[in-house]
Amino acid sequence: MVSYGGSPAAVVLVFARTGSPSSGFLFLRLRRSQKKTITPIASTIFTLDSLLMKIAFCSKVIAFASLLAGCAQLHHVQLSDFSDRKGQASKPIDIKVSETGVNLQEIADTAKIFSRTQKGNEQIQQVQDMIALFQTGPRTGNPVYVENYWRALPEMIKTECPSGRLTNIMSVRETRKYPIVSGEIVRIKATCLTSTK
Amino acid sequence: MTIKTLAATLSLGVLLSSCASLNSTSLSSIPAKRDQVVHAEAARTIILGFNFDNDFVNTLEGDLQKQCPGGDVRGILTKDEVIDYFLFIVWKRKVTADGYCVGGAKS
Amino acid sequence: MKLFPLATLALLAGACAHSLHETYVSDYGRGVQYSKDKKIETQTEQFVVLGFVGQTNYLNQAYENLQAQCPKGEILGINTEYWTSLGFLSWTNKIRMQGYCKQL
Repeated sequence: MVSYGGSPAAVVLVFARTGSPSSGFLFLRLRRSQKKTITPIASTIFTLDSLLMKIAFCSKVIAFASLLAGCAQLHHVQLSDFSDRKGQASKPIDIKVSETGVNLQEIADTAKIFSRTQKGNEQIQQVQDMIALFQTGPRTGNPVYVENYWRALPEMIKTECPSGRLTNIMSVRETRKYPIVSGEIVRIKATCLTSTK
Repeated sequence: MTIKTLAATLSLGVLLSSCASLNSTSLSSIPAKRDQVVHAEAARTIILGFNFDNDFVNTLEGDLQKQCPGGDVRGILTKDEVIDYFLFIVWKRKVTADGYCVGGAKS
Repeated sequence: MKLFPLATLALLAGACAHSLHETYVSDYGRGVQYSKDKKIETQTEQFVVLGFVGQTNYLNQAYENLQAQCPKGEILGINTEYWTSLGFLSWTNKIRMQGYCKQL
């Protein structure tokens, strides 16, 4: 039998951001708190009830944390020619454009949770099915309602690198997925050659 | 033509027709001298999704080089497409590369 | 549920949705002089009903259109965008290429 001096378990969530703000890591650490009045032999024995309670509690915390964290999904990454021009002054550029994508299936699923009747669920499904008919076609990530949100990219490249001498260009298409919505992202990383040394 | 015959013909047409879709594309900078066209193609037919590697694309680079000995291949348009055949249980994965040979002797 | 409000809701939520598949920025070669080099662009499309289409020539068409706008020059800094506009049991695949024509 294990007895805890304080609350059964204190959960500490640590969000460690690494690199860009969009690339997050989530660590979950369980800490048994305060004094433990246990004997060496008894410490290895857990009752089934307390174990199940802990698992349930952990599951809830993980589910809640995953709602907030967002998953990064990589679709395409492509590189252009790379060169190491040591004799030239350069600066790295990193351009990002994004737009909100919407997952209608997840909206319908969420609405069904709050719907109290079977009939309500059926109506929600009908709406979802009809919307799906209007959104037929191949997809990468979630659909967005703004066409050409990526159109500004060439101008942004021009602004960031007015010399027009770019090398080591990496084009990334990715999705940052949250419940119901997502960030549909295009990122361009490159080296801008500014002048000769 | 009876309705049955028409329906059967249409169904057969749908079953035997192929559907192409573009997966991915890229284009490198295009040279001013564009008289030597080079083309390479690699494809694999996949049945029921059984495919254990994608090594078929490795031949593309060599094919382009062979067509442009001693030169550079530039302005390469790559096209990665999927062509679905019979009932979408057989499909072909096809990658094509078109470009221009600059400064080489075309073989 | 009545059909009219259902159809209206479906139209509002479903219409005008787009999906960007990829963008690719090519190399800039010797460099683009924004003040001198001409900006060129082209867009081609392919309308597809339920996936029944046998070719993807609209991509090659865009490639040819871009070159036609710069017959004697070099085309650098090409930005290739590929996306799909979703529709009612059909969709439109779109390719857009933009680059800079450097006259020799």
